[in-house]
Amino acid sequence: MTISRRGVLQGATALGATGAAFWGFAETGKNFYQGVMGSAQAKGIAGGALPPEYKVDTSTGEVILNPDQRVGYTMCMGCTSVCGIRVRVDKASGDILRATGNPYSPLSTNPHIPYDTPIKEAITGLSAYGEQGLAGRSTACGRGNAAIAKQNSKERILKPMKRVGERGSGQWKEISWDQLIEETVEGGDLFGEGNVEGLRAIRDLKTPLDPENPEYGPKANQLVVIPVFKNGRLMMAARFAKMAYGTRNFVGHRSYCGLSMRAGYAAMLDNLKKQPHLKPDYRHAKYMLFIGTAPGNAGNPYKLQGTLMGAARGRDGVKYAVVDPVLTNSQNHAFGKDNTWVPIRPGTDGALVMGMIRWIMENERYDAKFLAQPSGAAAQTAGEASWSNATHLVIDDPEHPKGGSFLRQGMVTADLEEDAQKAPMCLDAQTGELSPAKGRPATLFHQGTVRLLDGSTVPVATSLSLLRREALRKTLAEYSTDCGVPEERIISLARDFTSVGKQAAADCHGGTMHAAGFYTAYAIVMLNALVGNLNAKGGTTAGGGRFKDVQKGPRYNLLAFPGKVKVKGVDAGRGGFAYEKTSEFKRLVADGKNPYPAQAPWHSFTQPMGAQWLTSVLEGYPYKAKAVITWSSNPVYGVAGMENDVKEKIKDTKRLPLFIAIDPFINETSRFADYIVPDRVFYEAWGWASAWGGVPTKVSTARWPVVDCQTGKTPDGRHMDMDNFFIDVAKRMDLPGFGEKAIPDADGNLHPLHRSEDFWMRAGANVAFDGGAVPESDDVDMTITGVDRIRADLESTLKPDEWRRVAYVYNRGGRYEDAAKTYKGDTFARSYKKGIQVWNETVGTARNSMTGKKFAGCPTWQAPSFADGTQVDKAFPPDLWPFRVVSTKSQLRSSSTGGNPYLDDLKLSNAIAINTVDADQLSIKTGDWITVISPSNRISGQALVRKGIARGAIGIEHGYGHRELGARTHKIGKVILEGHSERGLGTNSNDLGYTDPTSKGPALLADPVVGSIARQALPARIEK
Amino acid sequence: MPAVDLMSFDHEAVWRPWAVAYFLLVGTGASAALLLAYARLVRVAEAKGALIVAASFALASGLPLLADLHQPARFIHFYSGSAPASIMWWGSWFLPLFIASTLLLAFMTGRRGNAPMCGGERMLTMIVGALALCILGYTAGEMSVVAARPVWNTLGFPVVLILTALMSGAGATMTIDSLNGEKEEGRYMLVVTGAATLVAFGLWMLTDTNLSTLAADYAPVGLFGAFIIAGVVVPVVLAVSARASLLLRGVSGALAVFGALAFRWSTFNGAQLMSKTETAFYGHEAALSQDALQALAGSAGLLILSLIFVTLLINLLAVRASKQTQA
Repeated sequence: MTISRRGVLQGATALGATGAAFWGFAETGKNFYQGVMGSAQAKGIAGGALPPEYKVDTSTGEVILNPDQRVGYTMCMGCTSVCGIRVRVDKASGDILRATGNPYSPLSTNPHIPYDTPIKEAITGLSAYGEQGLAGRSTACGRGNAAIAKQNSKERILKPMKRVGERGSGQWKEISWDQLIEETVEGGDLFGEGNVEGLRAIRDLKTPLDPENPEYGPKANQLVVIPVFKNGRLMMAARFAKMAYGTRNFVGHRSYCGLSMRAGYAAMLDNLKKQPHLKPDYRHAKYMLFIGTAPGNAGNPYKLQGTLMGAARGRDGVKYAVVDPVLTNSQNHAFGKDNTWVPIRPGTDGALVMGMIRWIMENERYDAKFLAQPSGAAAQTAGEASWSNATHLVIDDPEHPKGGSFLRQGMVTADLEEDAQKAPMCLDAQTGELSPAKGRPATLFHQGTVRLLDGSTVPVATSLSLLRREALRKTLAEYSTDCGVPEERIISLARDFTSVGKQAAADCHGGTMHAAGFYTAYAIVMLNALVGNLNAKGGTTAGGGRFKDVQKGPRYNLLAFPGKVKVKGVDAGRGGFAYEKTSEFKRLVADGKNPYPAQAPWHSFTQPMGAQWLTSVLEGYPYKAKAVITWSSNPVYGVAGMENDVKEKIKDTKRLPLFIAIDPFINETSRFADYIVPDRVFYEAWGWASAWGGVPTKVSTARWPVVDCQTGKTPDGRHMDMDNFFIDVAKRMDLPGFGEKAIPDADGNLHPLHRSEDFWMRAGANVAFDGGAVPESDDVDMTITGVDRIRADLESTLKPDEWRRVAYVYNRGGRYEDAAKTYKGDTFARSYKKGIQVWNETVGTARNSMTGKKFAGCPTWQAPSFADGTQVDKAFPPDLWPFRVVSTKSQLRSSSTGGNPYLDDLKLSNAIAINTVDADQLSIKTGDWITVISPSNRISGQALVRKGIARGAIGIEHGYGHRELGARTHKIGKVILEGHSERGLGTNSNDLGYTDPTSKGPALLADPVVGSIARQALPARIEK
Repeated sequence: MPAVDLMSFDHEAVWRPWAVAYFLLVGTGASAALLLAYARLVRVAEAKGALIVAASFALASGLPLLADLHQPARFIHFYSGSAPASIMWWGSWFLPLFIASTLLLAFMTGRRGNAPMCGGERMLTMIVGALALCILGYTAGEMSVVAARPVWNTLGFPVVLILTALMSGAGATMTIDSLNGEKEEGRYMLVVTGAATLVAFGLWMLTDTNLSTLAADYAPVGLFGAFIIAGVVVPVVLAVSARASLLLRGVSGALAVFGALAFRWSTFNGAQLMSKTETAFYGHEAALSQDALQALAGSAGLLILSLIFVTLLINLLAVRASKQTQA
């Protein structure tokens, strides 16, 4: 046999090719083997999927349940949207297998199925039967899917713990429930460090906590309770803290999360107390403007917004713009030019919007017909869906005692009834005569004088004239220079916004949490007023509200009980109380001294300032706390500048004698606690929640234990949790509203409150009966949804005609008004009744506690400033501090997701994003380690160089840089709870926050008007 | 190949480098099959080079497609149900039919040796040609319907995808022919489709900002340039000017195949690295990751084995046929 050269060459080629092919396809081969023979196909459905919870025969629609699993409908708390979810549980192990959407819930399904749909039919609707599952898709987001890891987390606290070493040392010991209750109530020498007053001693409702400043209220206010957001369980904590214990210091996390947005809306919607807010009608709007919020990327309700924006992108004629220093996933190249990103200098959105308002005014692009209606009656006659005070006359002299107030009929006409005296005045559009705001259109623009009853003359102007004056204060070129957005862009945004009638909507959220937050938000939301879109289809909605739950309901009154305390006094964060009303102010005036500036800012018309509580009580201005209880809240991580300010002070037991944390986990705040009380994770808990503004129909989402609670049990067999801690403390202290005879029903009979079920199931009865009773559930449905597990409790707690109806509601994970009831003609069926405040009298008559100057009562542009009005840019000039830091939100991370193994698998750390041009100038490349330095602190992380961030901005994704939640080692008795350093990777932009340098007293940098914490637009520089 | 997503989480590109290999192989094979059908049915030529290219490229295309499925065993789902509204589902039927028919054609051609083509083979050639059109249509269609990828979701993309496939089919045929010492087919087709590619790509670039953004920011450096210069202009010029040289014909054809590869590489990978929301490119390092190298090397190895197999098949059968004839 001869071997030719050609043969050798061919053989070698074939050999080489075979080698290459084997190397190339090795992975494919392995995967293929796995797919055919391995675990991936073991369960028979697709790639490693679990056996399904049920099967639906695609020809008959018959449902065949999987006897090994159950599916319960409850509420998610992976973020704050509180969506309805269905949770799949393995019956044998009790473990949660998966979480996905509840088809009855409008937060998870678009559109949600009619409420009376039978349970089995709802299941069929999610299946391939008739391809229904595609149209009726009901989902949980990635975060909602990942959150199931919380339940079995190794880091969970299951028994009460008491610190052993100094605060924050990470040394604990487990104690019994009884010891916990006894020590926290009675106090004593609890830590061998001297006597500590217990909750009993602190509750003194008569003695003023500070006799020199009696307005601070009774000593009971020295208990400060810092709870989580409105997660559906809040009212139990509120019942304890406010109604029974009697401290006024109980409020949610709004002041460090989204207060500026809420306050801006509240000022416009004339309800500064409850702070309602609007959301665009994503389903029908033709133009949407998002400023400092990224629908589907963050915001609230986040998942629904994402779904609806996705649908909007598929609709013809829809356009939207996102104004944000950071380009987010709200934009999509595939949508072409109909969605645009407008990069902007952090903290300057207010300039952009006032520029838009200027152009709208100058070009008369506002809805004059809507704005001319001075009352609800006039709007009705004119066929408008809402009305405003644009035409109401304001006393336009800040020095006048009534400056900033509306001109009222009683000031110009004598001998009137009380109601008539209060009527605001305007100029009749037809006659030009001064007349009370009633059923006829009025003049939009007017500036002049009016003679009052006392003979004096005062300058007056309509609200809209004042808004125009504020808008015209700067030229378009100046606004453009301030915000870095070209003039043409400002004009095109304004033109687009005013080109589609009422089918335009503007919204904002956390991006406005900077030191110019209030007026920025007020200006953004005022755009809605200029096109008159409130309650209009395609415009904005304040939401559909909720069925009555923890309220004075049709079955039980859960807000009243014998002995209920009415709280009084000043908030520990100086919110919602005017400095001018304090004894301190009056003393200074009496002594002939200038009362301004106050020691630290007071904010007269905002809510209690929970975000300032820790900083304030640790310094004792206005007063010190004797005990702090946190419940599932984490201000040390979540409030910009907090950790830096309090991390040493909070360890000092003289500054804060008692600190109790209620939490399933140890976070950056509860690490400093004296006691940690275990709590339920949300799949195990009771409660009733509702949607934020984004759902136009009524929503009440139920929370009930779809899995067994894992915490330890009290001696009488209840699970240890927040509810039972407050119940047992209250009972030991004999507080009203707890124990026997605590809950009145509609007939006035009193029912007991000894355990969670007593409270939450009765709230469920209110839900089931509100606006007409729901039907009774049969036994089969209860078996399918797992509600049969709580059947005995339902039967024993509720009345015979109640319990099956409440079961009907739990079967469906809540009560939801049908989607068909969303609109009535061209307006929302559930409309917002109060008038839009183009000028807000409360704001316009309030004063800055540091300068004594009155605030403008309408939107205006003020650059981010300290409390005394000094601009942040002046104190930290851009040539030395060229960057402004913003926090950004991803779809899957929030402050509480730290340590979640599923999310960590996806992305363990964040990066520090800067613009490519900035990076070039500093010779920074993606992946370089850089240090960001703020006036207070420095953080280091890896750079991410991108075009999708504005020049001069630093973007840091929120949810990383944890020091706890599994990142640090704790010792509980002899057990070591090992920390994992990788859980603490990345950076937290809040570490760059700082205290207000113009305030002598304790104050973190905040908006000067309402005190919302400034976590955005923080000055910084970068070192490589 | 990871795409860096800036606001959420990095993720695997859905269309892997294996897709580049598959589309190149199947496109080249289908185009050579068209060339073959044209040569045999219209010009009455044997076009053996085109047959080898059609059969071997088709044979090599199946596995890269499986590899692109992430979990290759999932391919069974194409056949366990029907989805007539899906272009990809139609493709799942076209592909095996196309592979089988070209191989059968190679078998029949080899078996008859030097004998003239019979009616059955003529019919099969027509079927192969028709299936080749289906393959070109479905591959272009299934990508251009992806609305989430604006670069693909245009008129320009399917047109250039098909034109480069035709160039590549002609080029591969010229290269195989020149290796076999022949100057049979493909030169004219390469020149025409190459010129059309230049015009179509130019118009597309001028009218689609997404493509210009891709070219400027996302595509691996120089790939578009390499595609146009080395992959289109040079092979066309060579094919026009060097009609007599076997070597230059072979080089021209190989460069045309490279052009089709470069186009697919830059538009498949580039468009996916082009974040749906972002305006910068983060995939430079990832462009030649081990994944990508495995896809290229594995497919190239498989292609060479297929070429050897198909050539041997035809030649051995032909030898047997001629022995039978002599006997």
